[in-house]
Amino acid sequence: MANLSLELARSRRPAVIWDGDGGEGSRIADMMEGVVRPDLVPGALAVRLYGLPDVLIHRPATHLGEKPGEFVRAAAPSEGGGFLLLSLSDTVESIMQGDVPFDAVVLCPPDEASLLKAYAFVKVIREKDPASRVYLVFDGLPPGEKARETSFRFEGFLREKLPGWLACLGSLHRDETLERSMEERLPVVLGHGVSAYRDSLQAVSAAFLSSVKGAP
Amino acid sequence: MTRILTPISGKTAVYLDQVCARYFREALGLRVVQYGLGNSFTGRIDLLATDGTGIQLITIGTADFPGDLLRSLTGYRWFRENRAFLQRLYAPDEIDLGLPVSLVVLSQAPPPDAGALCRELLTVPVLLLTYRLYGSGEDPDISVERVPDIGEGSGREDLGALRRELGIEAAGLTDQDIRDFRQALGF
Repeated sequence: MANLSLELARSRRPAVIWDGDGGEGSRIADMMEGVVRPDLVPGALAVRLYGLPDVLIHRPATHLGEKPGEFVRAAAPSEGGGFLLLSLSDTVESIMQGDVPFDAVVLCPPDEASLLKAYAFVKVIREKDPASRVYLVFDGLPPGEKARETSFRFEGFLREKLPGWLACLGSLHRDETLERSMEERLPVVLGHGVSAYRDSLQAVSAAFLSSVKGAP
Repeated sequence: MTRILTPISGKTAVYLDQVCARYFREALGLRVVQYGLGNSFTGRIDLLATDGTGIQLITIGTADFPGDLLRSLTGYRWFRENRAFLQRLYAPDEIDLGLPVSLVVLSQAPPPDAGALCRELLTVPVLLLTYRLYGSGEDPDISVERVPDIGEGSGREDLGALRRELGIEAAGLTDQDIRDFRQALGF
């Protein structure tokens, strides 16, 4: 999400992040630690991009007592103005507890357990709001025909079982730059040169923006 | 599971339902609620039983396996279509007709892949049992045995445990949903 928000900003679409995944600390803020500044915007961490929209990160710790839904209503950008990105904990319950409509980007590692979990998440999202748009991103898809077939089959299975708006944005090709960026706490798209992972991130972000434009 | 029951006197055909009912009571802990439900024209269930967590529609096959299975499925269809009527017929403490249903088919010679076929293709769980009759008509013995399922490893897997492990219980995916998922993706 850190990388996606930066890619959105690069396309001049402001991104505000709710860093609500408290499972292992504030993941987005941790990932952006090398570039965030706490002194620019009250109550938020900011990534200043000079000439591009700032990326703002809000954490539950600075909004004590405020539920994500309340934050969403207060911080939602105007129509077409930008994106409010919610990073929620990796549980079905976190989706069920939400009280505002949303679209979802579901990261799908290609193993059986992860895809089954993604299936459960999409089911809950569909039941919560049948009008929600679901974007699939396959994460760490190994090269080869079999993995591609798995992703096609999964997308087809979801379309058949859980009818609704669904788009596949592509796949992220993990390489050593991801590990390095996590160690350095610097997002791949800001701190690293050309790599397979960076290229795939940019392709997925571009597909997301293109899909958003084409969505009803 | 094999269980040899003590001989029961009388003609085998006449007592087969009772002998089998005794097996289900003693070996599987089922409570038989009704013998001979429905009829052979619209669909017949030889034994309607329950273990308190599910309903078992038991077919005691005396024909070849395809005929036995077809009779079981016809009985299941009759049961589904008449569930509301049956709910008025039986008190809830006698049998809870809202419980999940499974079919039990006793047959003399089911083919070896029958269990796997039923598991893969049918939406209702099917337990296949084979039985053998011994002794004379006046003094019969019976043994009942579960038909091994060639895909038994996956069939016996505790999908509830898998849901718990993945933390997706609240999503409401059924065992059948998970089986469909695996089949579609080739896992």
